[in-house]
Amino acid sequence: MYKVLFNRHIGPNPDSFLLPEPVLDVGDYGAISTKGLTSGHQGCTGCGMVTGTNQLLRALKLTGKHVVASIGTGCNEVITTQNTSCWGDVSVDHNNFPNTAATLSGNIAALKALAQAGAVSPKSTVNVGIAGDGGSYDIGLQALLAWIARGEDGVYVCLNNQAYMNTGIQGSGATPYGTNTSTTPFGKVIRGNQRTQQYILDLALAAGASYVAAACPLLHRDLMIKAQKAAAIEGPCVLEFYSVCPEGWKSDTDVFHEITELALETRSWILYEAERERSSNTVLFTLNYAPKKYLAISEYLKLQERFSGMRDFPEMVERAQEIIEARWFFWKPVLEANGIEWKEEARAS
Amino acid sequence: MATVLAGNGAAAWGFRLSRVQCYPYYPITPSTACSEQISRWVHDGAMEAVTINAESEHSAASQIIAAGKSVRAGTATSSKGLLYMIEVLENAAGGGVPCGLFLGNRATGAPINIWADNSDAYAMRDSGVIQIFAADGQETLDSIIQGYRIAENLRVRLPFAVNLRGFTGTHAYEGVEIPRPEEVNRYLPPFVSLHPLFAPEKPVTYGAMLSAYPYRRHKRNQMAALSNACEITLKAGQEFAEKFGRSYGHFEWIGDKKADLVVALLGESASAGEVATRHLQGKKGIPGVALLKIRLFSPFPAKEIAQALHRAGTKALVVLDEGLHHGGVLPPLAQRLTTAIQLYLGGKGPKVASVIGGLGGSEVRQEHFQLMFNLADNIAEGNPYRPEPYWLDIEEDPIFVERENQVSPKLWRKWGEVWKKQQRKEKFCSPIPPDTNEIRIYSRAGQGAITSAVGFTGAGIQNGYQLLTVPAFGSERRGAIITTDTLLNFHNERRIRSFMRAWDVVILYDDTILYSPEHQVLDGLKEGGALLVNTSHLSVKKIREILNVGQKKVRVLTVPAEAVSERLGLKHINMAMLGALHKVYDKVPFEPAQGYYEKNVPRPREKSLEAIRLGFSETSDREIQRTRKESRLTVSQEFRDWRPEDHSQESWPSALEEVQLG
Repeated sequence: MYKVLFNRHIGPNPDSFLLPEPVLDVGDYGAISTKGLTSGHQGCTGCGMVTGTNQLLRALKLTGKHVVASIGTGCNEVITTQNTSCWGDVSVDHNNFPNTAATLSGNIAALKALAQAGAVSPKSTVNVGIAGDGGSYDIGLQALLAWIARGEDGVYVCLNNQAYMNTGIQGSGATPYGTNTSTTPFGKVIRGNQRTQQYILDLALAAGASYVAAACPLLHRDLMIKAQKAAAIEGPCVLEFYSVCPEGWKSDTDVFHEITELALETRSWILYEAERERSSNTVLFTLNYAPKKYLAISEYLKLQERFSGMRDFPEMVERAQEIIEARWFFWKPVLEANGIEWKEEARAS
Repeated sequence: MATVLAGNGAAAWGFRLSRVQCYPYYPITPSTACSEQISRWVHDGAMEAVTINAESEHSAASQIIAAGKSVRAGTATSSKGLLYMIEVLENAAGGGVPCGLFLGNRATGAPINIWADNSDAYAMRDSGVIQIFAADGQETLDSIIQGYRIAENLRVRLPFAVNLRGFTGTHAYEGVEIPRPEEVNRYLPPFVSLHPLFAPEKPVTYGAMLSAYPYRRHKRNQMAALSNACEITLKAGQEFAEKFGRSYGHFEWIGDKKADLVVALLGESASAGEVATRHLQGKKGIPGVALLKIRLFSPFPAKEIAQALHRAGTKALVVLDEGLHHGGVLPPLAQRLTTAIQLYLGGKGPKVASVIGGLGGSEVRQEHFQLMFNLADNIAEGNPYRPEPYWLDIEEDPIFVERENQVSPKLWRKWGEVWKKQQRKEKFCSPIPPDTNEIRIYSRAGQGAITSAVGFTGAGIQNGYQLLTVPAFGSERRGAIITTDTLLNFHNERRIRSFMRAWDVVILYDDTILYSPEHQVLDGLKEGGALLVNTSHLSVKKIREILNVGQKKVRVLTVPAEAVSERLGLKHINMAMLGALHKVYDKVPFEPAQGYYEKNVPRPREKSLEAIRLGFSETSDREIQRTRKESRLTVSQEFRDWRPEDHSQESWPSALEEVQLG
């Protein structure tokens, strides 16, 4: 285990005790034109993953480094490389579904070898691995945790849309409790996904990551700060982006904003980051967003038809709420230090 | 002068001389030692490469494929490890990544089996990788260097794999010429990636998704690149021969130029075949015989092989496969050769029979090759033969067993008529006279027998002989009885890598092995051979008594190696035993050998050298003063007659047998 410290401050956090200076806020760069994915990608209307990738790439490019992306099979790869490449000036290495982190590892080794040979400067390039929740929580977990354990310098991004969307919305390790997916259908006997979702950032920290952060494209400033920090911090850094998926979540394509907001207000997606000081094995946790008003989970379930079944079962909704409360309890010291009541009962209207 | 290296060590040198820049690995028997050696070099600063402790073969393969797009990358694996890699290896071929693999070939199970056959290599044959089969350490080292040269050729740009049979290849110590690095540098220029990921001015996307038309065009190009490798392999081999004096091609033709009867196979088992072929060559009544040792398996040099068979006027070709093609008509090599003959020679080509052997570590022995030539002769004479594969050493095919009644009645009903017309001809099956000297060590695992045998091998090589040491392998535990065999060949003109199993010297590192019911240490000991025992308390007479030597002409000698080592404060007895071996066996003279040992013995050097000297001087076949009392150990007849229950001859119920249910 590691020693846990909390940052008293709540909010976007450009500072890091692992870095000599804080990273820049997006506006601080002035007028620089950067591009994420180029036009022509085949993502769905309302896709949160594409927005997340765009913001990630823009943030990394703002730092002036060449981006080498090792990407796993999934929506992200399929919609950006079909017969052409939508990656612009980013070099892309797509290998397979289970080995995003291993491919990333190979590219990190190649960079190291090239640097040893004097062919490139290691600081001029950032190696980033991008995979979905299937490729991170499930089939790619072994490669991911081993990559973290080896302590290689790179950034790994999990675009979490909470199921295998590319293959037709099957349940993954990141699928929330009660969700209706094609392999965890909401049946008469078994009602939706019976598992509680896992948390990749917890696993990453346990495996020894230098920096982990959860972000969402709605709060793009926060996301881009986190991406820059991950690129600057030495060692394995893992980011997880909340990725709205209208197709898999059975939601309207124009409620990207509303769904994300509800996720934050109901605390079913918590924005936080954690950085590790290696010599003392201390991890500093920072909460980046605390809702003013805690909404009940039932609000979050409303906009997404994947939850339509569980809405009618109060005990299931209650269970979902319990899962959220259990996780929110972790932040009690920070909330109390800021004079915020941490209990749901006290705050929910 | 040649250096003593095991096949794995030679492979590691291949990667080192090729200046591999990225080497991820996940260990699997029998190819572990290659990765261990490279890790050692990198950690000692002797080799500049980025190594990755991968958590699986799947990741190791992913890593060489990723890194191989920018720098020279390679790894080693075997068996299930390779199967685990295959999922990504297709991306190496499809992505045009020229990375390298060393494969210590091993069975893939189930049932689980850690010993050699070609199942793993056969399983990857559709993954688009260039597959080269090496037959010994030297070929492995040379082939890895050539492999990068072939793979990185702009008309190829594909991954390659160099295969070496597990254990008898990967664990066999022999003299290997290590080319000079600067010469290799001239032969193999630095790798220049056409599309590196780390060139900001030229971004690139690998692994894009293609729809049907560009996909099929891409695949056609990939196939064309693999076909190009056929020609490039020949060229790379020729240039290698010009620089280093060892020539390599698509295949090696061993034996008569005009050969009616040919046995074809891949890789290391050719060692035994070579001895059998040379024995049969020129014998009265035997037509021309040759061994077709195929080196390039994929892309298969179909036309070249067909032409060679045509030139030789071959009438019958027997193909040995050390792996299966489940559900296929013929095993992979036989299938490829049949197709080649059909395509290029039509009806004029030789008749082909397929033989399956060497599975799961089964030895393909010299007499097996004699029987395969015998089978070829039967076919050439026009006798009917079985279209299905024959099985070596299974009681099914009378051509390979002594008596017809060993064949299952069902099979006999089906094939009896065909087999009755097959003859086992004495001229093919005459015993092969031993042409080599062989030494066997029985020791307990952990006693250092392999170290001493490897030292002896080095001393012998320095003396101008060719030596080969093959340790026993399997699931040994510390303290279990293991064997280590060394072969000495005094013919400079040709290499011999196949044991006759006729021992000139048998060495026991531990006198308790005398009592082991499982190890009949006199088995195979030649008339006039020597038995050397490490003992401080058994007399020569007593040993003769225990072994029931009787009037057999066997020299028995003892050495108090344990006492010597204790006196010197050494943990292992192996150095004293090494000295003793020189006393017993003088064809590798002791004086010059000592010069070699002075440079090569393990630490503590002075004590080790002293142990060698004392071992030499204290070995005797006389009754000498015992340092300890004679053992009172008595062993009951019951114990001596005990044998472990052996179920290996039982097989699972199969369609061949009547299975009674209920």
